Amino acid sequence: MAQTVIAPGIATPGITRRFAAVVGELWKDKAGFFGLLVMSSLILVAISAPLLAPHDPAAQSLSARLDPPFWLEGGSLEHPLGTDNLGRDVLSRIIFGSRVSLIVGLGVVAIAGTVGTVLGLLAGYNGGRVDSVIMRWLDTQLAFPGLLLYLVILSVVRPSLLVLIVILPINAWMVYALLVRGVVLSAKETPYVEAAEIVGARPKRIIFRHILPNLAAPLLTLAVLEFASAILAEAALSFLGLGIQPPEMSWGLDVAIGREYVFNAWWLVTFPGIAIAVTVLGANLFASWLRIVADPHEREKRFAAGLGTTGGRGA
Amino acid sequence: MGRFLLKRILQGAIVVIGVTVVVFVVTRLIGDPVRVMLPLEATAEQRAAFAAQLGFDRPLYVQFFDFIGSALRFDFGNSLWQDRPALEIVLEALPRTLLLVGASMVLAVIIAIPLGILTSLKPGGFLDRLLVTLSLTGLSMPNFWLGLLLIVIFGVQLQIFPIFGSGTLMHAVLPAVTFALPSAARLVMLTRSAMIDELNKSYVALVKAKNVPFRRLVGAHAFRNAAVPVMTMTGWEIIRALAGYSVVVETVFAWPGLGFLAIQSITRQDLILLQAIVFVVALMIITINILMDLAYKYIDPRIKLT
Amino acid sequence: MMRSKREALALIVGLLLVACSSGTVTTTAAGGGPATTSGGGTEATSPPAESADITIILAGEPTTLDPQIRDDGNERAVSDNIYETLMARTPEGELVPGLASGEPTQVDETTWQFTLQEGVTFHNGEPFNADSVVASVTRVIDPDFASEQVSFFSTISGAEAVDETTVNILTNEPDPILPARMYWMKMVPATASSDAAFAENPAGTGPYQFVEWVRGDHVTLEANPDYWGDDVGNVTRVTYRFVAEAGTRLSALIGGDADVITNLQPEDVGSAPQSASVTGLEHPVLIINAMEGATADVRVRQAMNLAVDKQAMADELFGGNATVDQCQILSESFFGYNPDLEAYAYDPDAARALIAEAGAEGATVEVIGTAGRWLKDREVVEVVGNFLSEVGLQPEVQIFEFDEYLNRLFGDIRPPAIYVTSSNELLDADRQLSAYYHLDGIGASNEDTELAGWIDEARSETDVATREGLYHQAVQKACDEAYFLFMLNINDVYGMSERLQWQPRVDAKILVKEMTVSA
Repeated sequence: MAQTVIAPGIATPGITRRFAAVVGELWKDKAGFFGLLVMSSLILVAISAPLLAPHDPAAQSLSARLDPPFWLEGGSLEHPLGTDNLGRDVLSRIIFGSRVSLIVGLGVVAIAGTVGTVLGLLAGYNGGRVDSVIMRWLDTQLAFPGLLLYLVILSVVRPSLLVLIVILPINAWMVYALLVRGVVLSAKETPYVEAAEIVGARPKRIIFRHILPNLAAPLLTLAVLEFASAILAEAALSFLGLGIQPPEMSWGLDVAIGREYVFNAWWLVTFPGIAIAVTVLGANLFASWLRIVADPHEREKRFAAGLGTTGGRGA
Repeated sequence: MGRFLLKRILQGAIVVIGVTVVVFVVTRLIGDPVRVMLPLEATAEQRAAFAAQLGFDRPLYVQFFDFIGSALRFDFGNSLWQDRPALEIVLEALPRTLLLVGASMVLAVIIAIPLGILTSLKPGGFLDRLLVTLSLTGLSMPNFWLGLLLIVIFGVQLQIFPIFGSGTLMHAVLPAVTFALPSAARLVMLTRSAMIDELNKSYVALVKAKNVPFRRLVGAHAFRNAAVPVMTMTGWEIIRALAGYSVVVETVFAWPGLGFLAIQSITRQDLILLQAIVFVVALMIITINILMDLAYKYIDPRIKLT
Repeated sequence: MMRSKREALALIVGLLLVACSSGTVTTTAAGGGPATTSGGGTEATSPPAESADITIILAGEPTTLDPQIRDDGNERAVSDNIYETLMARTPEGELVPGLASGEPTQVDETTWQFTLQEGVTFHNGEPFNADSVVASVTRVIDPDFASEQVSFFSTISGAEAVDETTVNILTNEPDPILPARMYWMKMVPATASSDAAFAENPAGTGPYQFVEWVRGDHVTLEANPDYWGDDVGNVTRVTYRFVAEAGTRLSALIGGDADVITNLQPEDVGSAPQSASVTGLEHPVLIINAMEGATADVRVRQAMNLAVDKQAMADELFGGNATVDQCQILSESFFGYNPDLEAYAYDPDAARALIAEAGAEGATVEVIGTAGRWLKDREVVEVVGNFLSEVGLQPEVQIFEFDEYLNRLFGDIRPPAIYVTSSNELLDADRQLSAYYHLDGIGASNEDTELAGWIDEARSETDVATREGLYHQAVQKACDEAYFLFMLNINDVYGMSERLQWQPRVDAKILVKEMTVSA
């Protein structure tokens, strides 16, 4: 009897209390906290770019080309991180470049995540024919030279932000499908799903009530990791000249421009590169932390481990 | 075993054909090599004559069957850019890419496995935290940027290593390190994780109780089991390097391998060469996959090949 | 010794020439100010070495060493030293006999006769004679051979040997610039060139002969001991390497791994041990659509010309290694160059007024460019876009990948404004005018029949003065009508090692025989 009285209190603690607990836990894990900080700054910076940027990122000045950062001789606080080959403000370009990274990251995650999850659910839940067709397809596609195929497509289709968001999921959906299928398969074995099936609950209901909740945490973790890898992919393609095209702005593109000037303007490659690395690092750390808090088994390990156990996804 | 091989080879054949078809369709439907190959000032008649000469004026399906027929005989035709057999060009570049990828993977494994084991022995310790943070940072850096940083530091400032071309082994150092660092970072994380899992298992406690020296325990028992995921990851790293990152890293260092060749064939719209590259890379990936499966069997005889 | 002899020779040749033209050549030693090469610099301090091996770094690897099949600047950079042509040019661009023993004569309207140098042999031992000339001509114009160079030789219909050292070149129509075309056609040995492996075993008559080509790495040539000419420097062996990145080329030069690098970035001039900048053949320009849209109004086109600060682009973007085009897409050294024209001034106020007059304030003008094909191609278009927006137009800058860019450049739908870099190795106005000025030209955006008439007339006009007059007239009209946004003539900039003396040529050929290395 006592149990029934106490249970609701434990099962649904006040939202504020839960939030405080999560933040408290996050604060204890400095790396995870840093990750969250980076991710939220990225979003904030991207949204409020026009307010934060000291200059119009496209404004040129032929007479102020290749000015160094402020702490070097010839630099000034007017352009804290210096200017590029057309006299544009490097800091402002980095601030505005965050928008492309954010949009590509979110767009690719949304498309690839949806497609992958649906296919993974179909394969895992239905099993049999559907499963074997989807898995065959996946096995075959895994052997495709991924980036090379992107390059082939991008060499004939004019690359743009939209094109990137559409083609990057061509390869990215597979991880989601594999993850979801795995979780569904193991969830199907659990007594409550078996019971629900015996009672005659509809498949849809079973998926939504019993399987999806199991998926939420690992999917979220994977989405954050994939967010990072989409940002890296965009940067790499833009660097090769097959991604974002000027006058649009992108960190990868700015590194490519700066590459021509490594000898006399090292800041052109350095700062956009740091922006990419910090963003990806932040996403990786955040994902590590998510994985640990969301997974009881991992939580145990974490006591010993301190930090995340999966690697992030990187270049 | 024989059946397994046969199955995998068949599967591989499907992939190769699929890749070829995709490349052909994408490039011939939208790209036009004739415009790119002739000088800007050439007249329309000159362009038409050039297209006819190279067979680009034939119906697409004729070009396609012609192409498939030739591909089966490993005859991709002459590269438009270099005017000699495309396969010959690809096979010249292939060893350079393999050398680079091979060297960098050896480097990555040599760095990563000891470090991974070391961190797993005392999880949460200072060394563990340091190495994990370093690894995460390493794999968060874009490849091309890491390469440029190495160029600026070791090539331009310190002038220790040559930064372009492929003449000597010294030339391979910076590109190989660029390849190896992110791979090593991922491998450290994975080795560590797999080792922690193994060391937590009950048989480890049992062996410990039997007074087997800890060092031997790590080497003989735990690592043997942890080796399978580590190998899988290494295989994946090789595939990722071949199928993608070689393009980026080789471009940064002007290393004349397959990836650099791919970029050059794209800028020159040399479709024939591009097809040959993709074909050969797909073949390499399939081979590596099969080799990996065989290696599992060798490491852990319990694994069944189906 | 060699050097002064060469200079004396150049001086004599220069005095003999009828028409005078010259490119400006300046070299800069690191840290020093600009100085003309002939004047002084470092060369006086140390005598030339007995012999020397040098390394030249090109921006890309030759696609082939067959000198007749591709239109490839990297191939030419090597082949120009192995092969020779009937006509040659001085470093300043004057057309002079090469393998021909004298100026060609016109036998009739469609026949030019060349007499040949005697006693010349190819590196493989084949003699150079009338038969080799006939074989070379027949080979390159053969449609089955599908040479990318055909547009240089479009008027040539064949060749016939008169005797051992006399040969007639035949044309479809009267062709006043046939001698200039023969400056572009490399002479190949009759027998060896019919071999499929000729590209791997090149053999010419030039001062350097082929040693080896390790694909992806280097090409090596060595001095031809039996070279027929006597005007050769002290370089005995030359190795070509290939590096696409300007920064990487520079680091090789600084590190002592190279004696000459091509396409030195203007920003890097100060970092190179020695550099040389010579008026080049490349003219970046914007083709403006004079047929429709806001740019159909001549005032808008003129305003666009007035809006761009060309001098600032030359000084800042190109670091002084460019000159402002005088309202024509021609270099001073080209036949047909109109010396009376002047560039549109930089006058944003006047531009704004003209745009207001035309009622085109805020009009959208799409400006199309590409990236990575020509020096600073992307930057030029971005800068122009910026200037246009400052005078009240609304430029839409679009940087396309090269293939897509070519779609726009050659498409039937003419873009409002599109960037192109025109270069003309024949140094004759016909090529540029036919391609970009003439309404049927592949890159023309005007419907000016009068202009087209003059260009057609000039093409087969054999009287030099009349022909030149027609070109002056045509170029003048295109300037007044502002069919283009005229911009710059870009210098070829080379980085050189301390020990090398070399005066780069206006025709962008990198002739090793003209280089001297000090001990």
